[in-house]
Amino acid sequence: MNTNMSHETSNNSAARATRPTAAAEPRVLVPVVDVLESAEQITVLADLPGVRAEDVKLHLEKELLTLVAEYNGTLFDGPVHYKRTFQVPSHIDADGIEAKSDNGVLTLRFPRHASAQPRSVPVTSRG
Amino acid sequence: MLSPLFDFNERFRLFDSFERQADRVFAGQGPSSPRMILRDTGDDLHLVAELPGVAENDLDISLESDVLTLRVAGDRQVPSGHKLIRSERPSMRMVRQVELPVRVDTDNLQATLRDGILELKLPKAKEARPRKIPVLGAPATQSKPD
Repeated sequence: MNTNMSHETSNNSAARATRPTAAAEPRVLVPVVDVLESAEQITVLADLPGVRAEDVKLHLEKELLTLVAEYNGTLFDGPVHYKRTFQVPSHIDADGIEAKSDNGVLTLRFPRHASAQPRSVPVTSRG
Repeated sequence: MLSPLFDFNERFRLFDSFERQADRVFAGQGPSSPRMILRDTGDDLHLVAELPGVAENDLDISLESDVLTLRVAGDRQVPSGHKLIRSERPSMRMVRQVELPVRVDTDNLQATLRDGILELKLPKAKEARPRKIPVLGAPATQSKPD
């Protein structure tokens, strides 16, 4: 039997039975984001209220970065899962992507490749 | 300002603008209106509000007679050298007022701000707390015979 949860469908009751039946289904929301651009990097700020750093998962596959975050607290009506996918431009250095969580806001930094950053070109005179 | 040379005409793309808008409608998250819930737990009132990005110093909570006011004065700044190319997050600056349904014990309010969620515990004033009223039945004078 396939127990891989990622292949679970809504009517797959066999896979679902491993969960406690009383647990509410999470609400799935797309987090709101701001995107900032500078010469060196692109910065994405995502509102994830109540989400702790350890409950954020980032998955990069080819040029797609998927953000999945879970709020499993009991303060609201039930758990909330946040999910959003970003296309990372080719001028971004994927190895340099950084993530940080602060006051319920996730900051993602996407540095541009060094070759894509502006640099000053020295001008020499022939004298 | 970035020159087009470094822009590569290749924007940071988001895939789900339609989904996102639909979600916002259902979640009732309009601009500047974070999700907020007020519950009556018997002896206390319990207020929970989503305030992502708000630090303790940004938040001012006050209570005047029965009106509770939450105020966030500061707002986000775009750092110098950066350009805001997409802006979906509501402004941090906000004022929300809630009329409390009962009087509360103002000396014992308790507020916690953690990971962008505010939890406020407001114990009810003594006279507003629920009281159990004993129901008297007829005194049992005799046990039932077998």
